Amino acid sequence: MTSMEFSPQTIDFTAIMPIIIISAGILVTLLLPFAAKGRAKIINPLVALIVLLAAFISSARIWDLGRASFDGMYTADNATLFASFIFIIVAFITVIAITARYCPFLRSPDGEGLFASPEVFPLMLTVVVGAIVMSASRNLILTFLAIETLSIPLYVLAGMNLSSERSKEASLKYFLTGAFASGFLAYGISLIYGAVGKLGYHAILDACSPTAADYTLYAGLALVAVGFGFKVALVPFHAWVPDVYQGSPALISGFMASLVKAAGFTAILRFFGEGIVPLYGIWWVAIAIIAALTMTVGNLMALNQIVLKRLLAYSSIAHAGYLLLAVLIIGKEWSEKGVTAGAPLGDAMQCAFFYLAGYVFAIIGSFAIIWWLTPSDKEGALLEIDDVRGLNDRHPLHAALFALFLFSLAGFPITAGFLGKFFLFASALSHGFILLVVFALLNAVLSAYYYLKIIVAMYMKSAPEHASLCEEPSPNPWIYAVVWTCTLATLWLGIIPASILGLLGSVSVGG
Amino acid sequence: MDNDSLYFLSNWANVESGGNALLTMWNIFKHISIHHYLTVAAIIFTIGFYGVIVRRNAISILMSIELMLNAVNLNFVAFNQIWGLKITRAAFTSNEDVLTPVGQIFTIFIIIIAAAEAAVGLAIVIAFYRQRHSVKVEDADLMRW
Repeated sequence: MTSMEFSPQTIDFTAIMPIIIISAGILVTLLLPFAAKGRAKIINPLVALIVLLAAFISSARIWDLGRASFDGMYTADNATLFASFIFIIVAFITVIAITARYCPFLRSPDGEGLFASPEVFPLMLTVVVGAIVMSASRNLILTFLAIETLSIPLYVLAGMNLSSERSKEASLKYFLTGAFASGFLAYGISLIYGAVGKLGYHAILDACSPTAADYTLYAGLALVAVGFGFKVALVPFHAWVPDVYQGSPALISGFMASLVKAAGFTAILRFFGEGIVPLYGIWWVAIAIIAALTMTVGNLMALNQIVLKRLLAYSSIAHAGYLLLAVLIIGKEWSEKGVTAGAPLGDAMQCAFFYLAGYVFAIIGSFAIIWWLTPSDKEGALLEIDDVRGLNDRHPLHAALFALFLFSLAGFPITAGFLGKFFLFASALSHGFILLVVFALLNAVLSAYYYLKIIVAMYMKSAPEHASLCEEPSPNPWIYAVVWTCTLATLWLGIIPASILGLLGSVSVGG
Repeated sequence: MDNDSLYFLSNWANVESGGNALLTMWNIFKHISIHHYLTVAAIIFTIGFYGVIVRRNAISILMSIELMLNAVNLNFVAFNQIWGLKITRAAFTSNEDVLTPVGQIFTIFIIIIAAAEAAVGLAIVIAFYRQRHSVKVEDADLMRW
């Protein structure tokens, strides 16, 4: 960022077109219920889907162009665009699945209209805007605003199941921890501003010098890292995750576990890779320790969980630990080579994005299956491993797809999870993080235990004597949209990874 | 005891012995540096942090979080005092200093975000209160471990 002088010429509207389109969609979906009264229940989701499609197309149109707007504060480089594709697809399938229960004529006979209010759609679109800006931002002001744009609607979405006490509790817990974390983030940013005088990543990069210690800057960076850690649930700051994921409606949990984690990691990769990479020698130890802790605690806590949603929540914490490896690799790679604008992403960034793509579809698929099995979310929060015993005899398709997603999360071959872990660990090995990779592999073995426990219960145990919670899964055909998209993506990434890797090969850091 | 404190005390003695209070206060204010603002901000932030950790009432926690954000505002405005006036290339050609009020802009954004957070947070607390008839965080205990 050269200067703060602001002139209209520096705004590149093609770069921010996806944001403009989705923002317009937010206004329309917000105001439409007043105009269209009853019909809004049908029109609203339709508008949301059209808007997401338009945003997808307008993002695809600027692929490879490396556009930037607002004096480089907002970069629509290919890394951003790849991340926004993931966000938009996730939001698209979630909107379809939510619509299934929400529209009167689409609602299944047993559906009880969980999302009785049309506010779901503007809120979800706002989350997508926040996520895209988070991955595009190269300025701490913008990053902070994007994180809040993403978080505040999610506090509401977590409590969207109006009849459930657990949903309210999840909302309250998410809000209190999230707002607490933003306090830290903002204080950290203020200290960085005090030390550097600017908030653009380039300015911070120039100001970071590994030789002259600036403790104001270090304190600021530590606090910002704490703020980020809360948002993506790294270990000392993970306590809210299981409660929030268990209490929220299952699809919203899936939305949070996939989209928010992906957005958080793209923001972290950008900040650590483009902002404070000269200080790599100082932060790598802290990040390595946090990575090891996050994997281990996540997996150990998941071992004896009996509620499925909590188990998946802890497993998502463990996955955040694996993903931190990518931050280390990028830090090492770029601190040696130096960041140059327009340079293709290293293979570290490639495998980080590949891992994210694989993880996102597996986790949202798993939550969708839970949603599918329990027509009422009140019970979804209580679905235990015992309840899915013998699921294969009762609902073979559900069991098979759930098993596929769990295999992908565990990292078994022919799924995306396997290749994601393979690329990530191989890249970490080649960059010399041997101890950490050994640790991560041990953790992967450990995690297989609890994923397999569910699969064993589904396939090798007899159905429980007492009435199971998932006796009658929702017959709604629209949930197929989510489940089949995730299945397709998981297998596609697992079997023909070259197609996505080729796409990622052309991903570069914009100038 | 540093110079500022000595200065403060000597001025205060002046007021006690019947000096002009207003003039004396102005003299003291002139000596308030950026460090004083930062110290106050740090103290406010710590009080907010302490409130979040210790308080059991969700509304009190919300207020403590607002306190933390206000400390950030103070920090930004104070830092803007040093970074606000920046000598740029224009300074060599003209005698103008170019203003970069990044800190003050950020402060306005944080005020907006704090307002949005308070609005959503109070709504969530009310929704919670309607079901549990309590705003105590220890009553949010349906889900544990």
